[in-house]
Amino acid sequence: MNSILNEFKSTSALCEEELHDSLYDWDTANGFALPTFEFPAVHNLNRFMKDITSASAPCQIEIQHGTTTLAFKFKSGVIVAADSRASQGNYVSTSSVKKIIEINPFLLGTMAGGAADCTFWQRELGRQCRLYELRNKERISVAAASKLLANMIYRYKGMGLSMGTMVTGWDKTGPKIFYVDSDGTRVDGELFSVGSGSPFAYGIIDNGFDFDLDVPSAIDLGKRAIYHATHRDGASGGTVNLYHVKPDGWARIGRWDVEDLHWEFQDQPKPSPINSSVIG
Amino acid sequence: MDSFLPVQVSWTPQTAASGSDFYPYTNNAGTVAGISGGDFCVMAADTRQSFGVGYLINTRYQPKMFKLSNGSVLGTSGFYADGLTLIKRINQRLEWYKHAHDKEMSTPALAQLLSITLYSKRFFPYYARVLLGGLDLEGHGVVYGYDSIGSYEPCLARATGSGGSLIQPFLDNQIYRKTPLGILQAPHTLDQVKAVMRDSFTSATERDIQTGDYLELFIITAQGVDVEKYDLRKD
Amino acid sequence: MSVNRPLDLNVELTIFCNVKNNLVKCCLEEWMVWELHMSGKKYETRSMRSTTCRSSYHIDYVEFLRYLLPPQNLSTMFLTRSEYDRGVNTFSPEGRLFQVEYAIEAIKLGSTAVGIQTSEGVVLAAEKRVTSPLLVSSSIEKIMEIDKHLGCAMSGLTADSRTMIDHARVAAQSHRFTYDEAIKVESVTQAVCDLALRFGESAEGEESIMSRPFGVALLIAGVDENGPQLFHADPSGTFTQFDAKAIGSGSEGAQTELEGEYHKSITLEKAETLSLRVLKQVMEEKLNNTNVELASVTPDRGYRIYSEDELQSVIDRL
Repeated sequence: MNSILNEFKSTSALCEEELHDSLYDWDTANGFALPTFEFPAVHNLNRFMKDITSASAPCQIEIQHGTTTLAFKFKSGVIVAADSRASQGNYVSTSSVKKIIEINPFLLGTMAGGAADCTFWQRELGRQCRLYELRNKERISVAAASKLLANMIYRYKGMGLSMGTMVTGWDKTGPKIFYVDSDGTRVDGELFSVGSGSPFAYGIIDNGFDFDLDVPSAIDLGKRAIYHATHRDGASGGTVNLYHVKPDGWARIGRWDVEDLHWEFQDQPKPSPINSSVIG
Repeated sequence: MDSFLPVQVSWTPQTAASGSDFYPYTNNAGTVAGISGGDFCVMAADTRQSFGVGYLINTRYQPKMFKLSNGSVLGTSGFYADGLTLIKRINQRLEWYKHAHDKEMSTPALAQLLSITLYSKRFFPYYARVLLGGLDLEGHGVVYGYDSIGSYEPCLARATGSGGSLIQPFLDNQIYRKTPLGILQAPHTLDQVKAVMRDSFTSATERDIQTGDYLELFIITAQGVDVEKYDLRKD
Repeated sequence: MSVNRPLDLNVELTIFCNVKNNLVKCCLEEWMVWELHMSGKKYETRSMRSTTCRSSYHIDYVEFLRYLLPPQNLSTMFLTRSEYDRGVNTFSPEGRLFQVEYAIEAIKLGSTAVGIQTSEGVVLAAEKRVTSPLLVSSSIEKIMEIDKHLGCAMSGLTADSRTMIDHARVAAQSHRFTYDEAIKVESVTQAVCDLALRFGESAEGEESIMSRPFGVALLIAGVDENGPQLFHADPSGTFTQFDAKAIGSGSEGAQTELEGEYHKSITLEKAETLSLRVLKQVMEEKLNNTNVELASVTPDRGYRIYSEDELQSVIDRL
């Protein structure tokens, strides 16, 4: 009897909430401020999230995952580089992901883990950083921005978010890199690489790194590190996107197909195109 | 007011369902694809709706693409009920946007809104693989591809759903012209794109049990949205 | 709301009064003004130019009557008013919300601000009351940025504007967040006005922000797909679009001046000088590069506040 009653109660509660949710959204004075989430009516959210995203689920919720990202400090700022492959399981869902997220003209974030988690929360971070700038008439520090992100994410710890990101920028204290992830970690550092291809990227960077590198050499090092990661890690690939963080904001240096880099770094000419039967 | 407060979590513990018994999804499958051109966008989907483990066919004609009030087209595959709810929500938001801002929402704005709407169900995702097609602010065709929780990007050609992984390689070849050694992009005419779409779905129907019956094409141009319907194999 | 009628004050004089909200604009003969001065009480707040009256003064209505009438007459005459201007959420029998009207009056005590829309962009100018030579004038802020394509000038209780401007900023950023586009000028004005009537007790599902109405008026300038625009928002939550608008204590004179000088083809440069010229006429102090603020919103450069040097060069053009 009680359980029937409860069921009835919870149904009506859901309806009310739904209604409130839709009202809340349209209330311009309140509705636009903070993201809210809908939750399933389960005891164990963690288990539910695991169930629905598991490969054996009849209707697997496949989440796009990102893979090799790196950022390192050198004398002229920070080099940030990433590949562009997103995979859902073994399927390459896209090869043109922008894994370096332009939070604002002075801050960059990187994407590893759930693509949507990274873009959504860094978008929210961008909004908050802009409001900070308007309210305080100066840009937020990288330390403060990364802490905002870490605190936001920490609220959802253990609920299935997946992100490993580097927040980089140049503030009053100089160039900065903070590693922030969905477990709640936030660490200041000189060099990070995140994602399944990171061991390969670390290998290249540790081998070729020198703080006094000039800008072209630092860019080359970043490019090589990502290329080698895509070469050895199946979950990384596509193109290398590379940014340079300077005192007056970041600059997008370029984008290279790793296939072109493959031949370039072998010092071999790229084979001429084979015939293909494409239309028109 | 103060957005530096931690993000709100609206959590209502309920007794109705316990962990593993609660499985709110069914796969109705089907395939959706979109190709964008210089001044047009072609969205395509089959109309078969399957049920359960995938062998049962609910219906042979249940359109899974929807023309939205701002002239964009949203295609959904996966769980039809989730897709339908999403469409209803989006249409409601479009209507409110029109009243609040006295203009139609552009397709790029809708693309962002759709991403956030999907992400608002991050912990109870819609089992829907969606594609959004329309024209951007300059009038060029644009297709946005999504994962279930709102990661998205604009693309030239994209296929998703049960036959998505069969069609996408074909589009990579025909539209992106990806050769082993690089991308040779060239503009395509509307007729070429329509032909590629029809071939894509004919082939996907050959190999995917959940794709077939009819093909619907939604052709989006500055003049509006035209719908064309073709037969596919019905076995 | 304004009534022109002969008001029999039960004294030997009959005075034509323009009864508007809390203030009486009286048309008096010179000798009458003299009499008021003789009483030793200072009633007028600011002298006005007028074409119909030889001289016209803003006088506090109730104070003025209290001076002219015996107390018992006053209480019977204005019983209704004193009853209905206490609560912020009670209409008077005539259908007025006095507290909202008084809030609008509060703006007339504020420093003057001017906005002019041109086809090249919108200019905002505001007077800063530097009340002491020891005051750091740069700490007075009468024009603020809402977003890179939106600016706002204010007059009245400027402390109240902080809530409103922060709200506008959140609205603008949240719009970018959700729709990946800049918010329209009208929409952000609407968002601010939605806030304006959230005083008093809170209604179901919404939170009240203030116990009283905001005592500030805003001029919101911006550029969107409809071009440069200027909106005026007042404490009643009403907003109106203007080609040129003045708010604050000198607004009546300034608005008359703007109406005379404004034309559709005015350039941004001319609008800069016009805005300062209008301010100069209504300001008590001599206008210089520290007691006014000037900002513009243009399609190319967005919102931009002028530095003291830039301001000086505009002043030099006057």
